[in-house]
Amino acid sequence: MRMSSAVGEGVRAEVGDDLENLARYFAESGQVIPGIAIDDTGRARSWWWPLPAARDRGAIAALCTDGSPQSQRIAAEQLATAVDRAVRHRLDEQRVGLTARRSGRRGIEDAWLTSLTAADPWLARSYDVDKLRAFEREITRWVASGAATMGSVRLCLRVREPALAGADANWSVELLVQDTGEPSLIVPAADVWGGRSPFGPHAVEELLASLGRVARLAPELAAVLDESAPSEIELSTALLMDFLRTRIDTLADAGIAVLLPSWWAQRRRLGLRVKAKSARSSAGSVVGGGVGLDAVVSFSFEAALGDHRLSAAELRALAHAVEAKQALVRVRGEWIEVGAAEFAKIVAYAGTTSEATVAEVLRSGMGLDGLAVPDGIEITSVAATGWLGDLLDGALHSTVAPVPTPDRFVGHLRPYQERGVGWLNFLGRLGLGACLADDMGLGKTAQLIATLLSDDAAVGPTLVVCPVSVLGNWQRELARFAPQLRVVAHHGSDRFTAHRTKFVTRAKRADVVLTTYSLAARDIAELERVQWTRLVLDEAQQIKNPGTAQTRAVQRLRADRRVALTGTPVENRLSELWSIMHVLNPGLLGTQRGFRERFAIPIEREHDAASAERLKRITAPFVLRRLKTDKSIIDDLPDKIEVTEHCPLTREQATLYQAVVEELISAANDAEGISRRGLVLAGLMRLKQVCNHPAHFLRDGSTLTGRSGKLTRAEELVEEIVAAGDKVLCFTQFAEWGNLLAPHWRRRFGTDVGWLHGGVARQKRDAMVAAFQESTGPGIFLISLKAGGTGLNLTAATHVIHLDRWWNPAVEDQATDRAYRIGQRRAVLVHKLVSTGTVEERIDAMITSKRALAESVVGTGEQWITELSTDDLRATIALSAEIGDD
Amino acid sequence: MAGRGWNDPWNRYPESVPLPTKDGMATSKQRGAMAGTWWSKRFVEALESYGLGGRMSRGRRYARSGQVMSLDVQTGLLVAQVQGSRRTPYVVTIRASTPTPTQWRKIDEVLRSRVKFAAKLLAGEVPAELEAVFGTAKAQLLPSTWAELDANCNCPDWENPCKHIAAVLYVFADRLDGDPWLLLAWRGRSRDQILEPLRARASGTAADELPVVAAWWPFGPREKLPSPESMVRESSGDVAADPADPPAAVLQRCEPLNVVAGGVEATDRLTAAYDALARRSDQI
Repeated sequence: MRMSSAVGEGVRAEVGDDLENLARYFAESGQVIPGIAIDDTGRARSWWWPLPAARDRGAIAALCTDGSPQSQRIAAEQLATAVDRAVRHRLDEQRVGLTARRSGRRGIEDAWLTSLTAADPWLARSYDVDKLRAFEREITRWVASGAATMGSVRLCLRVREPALAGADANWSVELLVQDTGEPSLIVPAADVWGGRSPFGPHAVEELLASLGRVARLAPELAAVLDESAPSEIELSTALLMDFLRTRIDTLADAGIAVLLPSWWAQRRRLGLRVKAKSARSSAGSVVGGGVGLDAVVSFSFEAALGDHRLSAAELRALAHAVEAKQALVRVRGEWIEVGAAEFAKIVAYAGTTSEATVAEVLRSGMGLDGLAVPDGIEITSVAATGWLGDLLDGALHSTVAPVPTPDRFVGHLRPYQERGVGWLNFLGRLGLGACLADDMGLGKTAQLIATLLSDDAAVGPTLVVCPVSVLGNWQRELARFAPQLRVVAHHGSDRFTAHRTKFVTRAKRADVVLTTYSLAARDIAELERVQWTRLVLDEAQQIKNPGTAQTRAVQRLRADRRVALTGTPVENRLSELWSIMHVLNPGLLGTQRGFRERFAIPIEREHDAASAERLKRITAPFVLRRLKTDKSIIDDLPDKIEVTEHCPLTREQATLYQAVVEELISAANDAEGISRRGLVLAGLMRLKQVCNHPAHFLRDGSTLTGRSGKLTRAEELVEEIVAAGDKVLCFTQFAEWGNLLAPHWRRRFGTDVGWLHGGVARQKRDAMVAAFQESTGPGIFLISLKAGGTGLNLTAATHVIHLDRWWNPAVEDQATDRAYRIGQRRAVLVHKLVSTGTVEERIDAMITSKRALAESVVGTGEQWITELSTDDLRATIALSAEIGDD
Repeated sequence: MAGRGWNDPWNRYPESVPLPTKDGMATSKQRGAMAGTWWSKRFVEALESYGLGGRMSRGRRYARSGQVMSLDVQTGLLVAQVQGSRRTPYVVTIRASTPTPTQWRKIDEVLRSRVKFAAKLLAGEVPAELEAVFGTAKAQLLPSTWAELDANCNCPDWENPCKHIAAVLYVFADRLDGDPWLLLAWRGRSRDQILEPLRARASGTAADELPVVAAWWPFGPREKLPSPESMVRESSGDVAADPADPPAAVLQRCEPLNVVAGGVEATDRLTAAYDALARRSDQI
């Protein structure tokens, strides 16, 4: 073959294989063109030649050993041979024939087309040589028309900074020509003038026309036109600044790109640095009622670039440059823009001291309007020592000292909880509001109670505002962790009349006053008469709407320390975040309207990362959210956490419950033996139904919303779980309750809710399980305890809710273990719902406090209750006082 | 009608009404000054320097209403047809001197020495320095007086310039605003003649001496190839055809191929071959 003999002569040896690959690539990508050539004997043959697009021309140039015409010719010949072979091979593979076989003499054109797909490229000898040559000329001219880059090109101006840093050093603007279809293909204008570019002659015209436009649109560059082959132009710093400031868009509109040094977009301006001193270096030594956002701190201004304070020498050099009207100055290796007026203002301010509130300093440090400075001067950074510095550097969560479990705290705090208490104390002592947004199950209530016990500086009552559904929990948790605290539950219709002393007097004597959001709104006149030491807003998402009565009431409460507790990822819900922060730290996020314009709209509508980052920076010191999935947290956690949720009965439930109890007691009095046991068991069932929901008990198809404390709490939990992107299994032992609940929740949560009970066919059941296990599947799975007891693997869930109780820990555990299985890497939180003041609560207490007894007595199920004497039965099932009335 | 004829001393001609035209060359500007650029203004000024009075405004009206049917720009000569009141359009010619070959050599030399001239002309401007370049060669680029223009019209009006000549100059000025190359064409240099030396230089210094490597060779016959660095490719590793390109994109890059074989366009047949090349082997 001719090819092999030529290798080593004109083609680089190592491209031998590449040549075949390149040829095949050209053939398969259609970058080939048919041609014709006539040899010395006057015989013609057809060719398939490569015709690469601009982006692939480099590969051809690379085939040549050097740029000499000899090397180019050899490379061309070899590539043509390889391409011709590759195309014919491929056409043969695809069985393509370009011309139908016809008898009679063919014209040259026909013969040429036919030979393009034939194994033999040669045309018959019978054609007239002159006619062949004419045809060859025509085809050759046609091929050549496609050979040059036909894609359009455009002029690019590349700005290059001076190599030397002298004040009089000139910048240069390089002229480059870019293929618009292949933007990575950029060659210097000099190559175009000198005929060394991959572009055809039309590039010259485009280059010339662009230069004509440049001269008109950017007169400072007009001098390029005075050369015969311009390649770059030098500009003084001042002219370059004019050019960069005013011409870039105009030139872009005229189709001319300006390539800027990478620093241009991030160039910084001189500004002022604020140096503030907060009196003490750690939270532990701050005493008294706290500093607060309104506290005044003194600070001084320094001339700065970013967070670097400019030295006297640097300032002198800048002054020189400004005097010389040099608009761009290199400071510490960085080009910065500086104007005379601006510089004068900075110099005048530098060294002065002033005072501002903590809020103003914080806002400035976080890139918001805060401190009053002259027009156009930027606060480039805020440096602070002490706690102000801790707040500003954003690492507060990890730097604040943990508080060990207080002596009076009954129980033991986990390490992350000790850090949480330390953080709550730190902000509390500064008078700054804190939002503890830990994941459900991480013990927010325990951390808050430990804070009450550890903050010696805070003497006086704490007001806890919570939803009615968790008020009972608060009472129990307080009694459990801090039994010595005096707790007043401001709750119930007799909340004023049941006591001889006035509310204000009782409140002032108490350590903790518990009330609900709706009562906070109703009794705000009484509540705002007390100066609270601490205000705690539990389930703070309740005040997410700034306009509601309860939010407005909470805003009116006077408190030295403010804490919000929530399990929802509050950072991601901007209006909620604003509303909560507005109560915690009024003024920090500005007005609601300003917040919308500055953060909510850019972040939610425009997905602006910079705004989101700024918001995160400003709120981060005040929000602490830890997830169960955090590596640092999960090490502290057991695999399974069980929480008993005490839910109040509604008035309707209480009335029904009372009626069932009385009926049952009187029936139990009259009956004996088997029939008594049957009556008691049936009565117990009906009590559980009442606890679940009046509609469950009455079976009258009435509405579900707002009639059951347990359902309300369950829905709060589910909402929070789903909002956090987690999945939950809900167990009930009553199929009829599931039948009511599943459709209700589908509507309520607007999502599919799986409902698995004994009547579901095996196949459907498997499909439901598979759907739930999918990450995109439904987040709520309702299961009948009997159906779900065995054989299910539902490890996608991280929460389990027992809607009603079985009184048999083994059965419950088995259900719980559906979620907690091998393969479950995350901790599972088990919520057991119990109605306050009912048989549920009493039996739960027996199980938990006397575990040994409970296991021996209760372990077998509910039979033992039927054996109780009527008096004992009454004591076990009778309704005690607590009734929710919200 | 009576009394308004050859012998009427007050109004020797009736006010003639031009016939309407269907595809005349109405000017781009329908109000205000007719010439927008400094170079076209010079034509209007030369015309106005003669003091045409009423014929001036009539000529402008003619120009605006599209009475000029055609305007042909040749070396040293403008030939135009103007639709007047008679059915046959009048023919207007305007002659001007062109630089001699010696003068052109001097001018060409300057034009080649700086990219300014071609650049500005390509950007739609007559470079202000061009007049000085012609001046140095003692040649004329723009008319300074009416006398430099030798204008004729075959209308019966014996006043010269007549309104038809005025209309033609207005239209020419209007066209010069949009196409400065016309000015040079009128003085004897086409756009191609001006650009050719620059193109030739760009397509290789020794274009005439070196034989062509191959018709398809993308670099042209020259000493140097583009350096691989100047041809950075985005993906240098695995090569893949641009999916946006149709299989026969190459045919679109070339000029039309006027080859017919067996009554069918060769390009149509070739397209089938390109489709086959692009087909994946497993789709056979």
